[in-house]
Amino acid sequence: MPVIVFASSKGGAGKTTAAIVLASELARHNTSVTLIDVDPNQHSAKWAQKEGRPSNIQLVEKSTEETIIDDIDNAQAKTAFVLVDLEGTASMAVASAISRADLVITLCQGSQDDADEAVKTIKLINRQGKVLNRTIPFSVLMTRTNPAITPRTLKHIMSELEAAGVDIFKTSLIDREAFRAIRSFGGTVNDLDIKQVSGIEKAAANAHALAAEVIAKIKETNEVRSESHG
Amino acid sequence: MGKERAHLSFDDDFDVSEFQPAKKEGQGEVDKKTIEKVAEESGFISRVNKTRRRKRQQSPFKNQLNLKCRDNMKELFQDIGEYLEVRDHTTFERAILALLEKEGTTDLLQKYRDITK
Repeated sequence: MPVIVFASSKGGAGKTTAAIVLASELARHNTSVTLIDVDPNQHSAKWAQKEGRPSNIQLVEKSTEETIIDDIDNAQAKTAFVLVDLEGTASMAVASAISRADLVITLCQGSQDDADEAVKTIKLINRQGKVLNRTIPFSVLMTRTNPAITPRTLKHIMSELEAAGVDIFKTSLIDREAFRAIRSFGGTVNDLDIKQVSGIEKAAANAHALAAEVIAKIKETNEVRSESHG
Repeated sequence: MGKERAHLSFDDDFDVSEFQPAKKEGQGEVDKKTIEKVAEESGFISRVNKTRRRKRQQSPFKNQLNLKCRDNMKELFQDIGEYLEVRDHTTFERAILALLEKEGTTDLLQKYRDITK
């Protein structure tokens, strides 16, 4: 029943790709997932409506800032995981979803604008945690990275985040054609045709690594919670 | 050299069996106003338009009546309105009502009431 929220107040940071990739990878592990699309552009919903969506991924489309809390609560009772794909703006829907999150994944590309918006989201998470009197776990996921090189700007951003004590995923979501292809063909990375798309295995490994790290973070948080309660 | 490429090993697979659907207990009602306040302070604003446009009620005084009158009669009429602190159309209707009541014309008085109800 963990609620995983993908948040960044900047568009194009990779929220939808990350949400779809994680949902697909979790589904591959025979668990049930609800994917809630709160973005008015409904990009996750468009993917989910294409052929090939795993049957254990349920879609909740057209969620809004007024319905998001109820949508999350209902989904938690139905599926093991709830993934929330938010719009890329600083909206109230982001705040509402974060209030219910077990893990907020803040997406960030290797640009200063993305980093500034990620910091804005992190500040909101911390403030909400204080007023809700609970720790809202969050981690920054670097997206659209190059597997071969780490540009200086990206290095600078990561060092700034680390210096501020911000948790960063060891896995980054690499810029791969396979991740773009699933948005076009539908289905998951593992379903892609090797003749049509290159780098499928590497993309699948990337998706697996991301999901493994997400699960590890959630388990770690749960352990800390149970220790503090026990 | 083999004919097939080596497959990636996912031996470090993760276990998700402990996660099951369940309604979270103790979440309670999230204080929406608190969340909104914190969100607004952080630059996250509502996209819902909360100001409802008030529909202006249509005036019943839509028809125009042009009358010819003596010199200064128009000014007198307007002075009455000023005295009564009403607009010209109300002065006119009150004058009609007073006349009908004075004359005791029941059917016309009823017609007046039907028009002004």
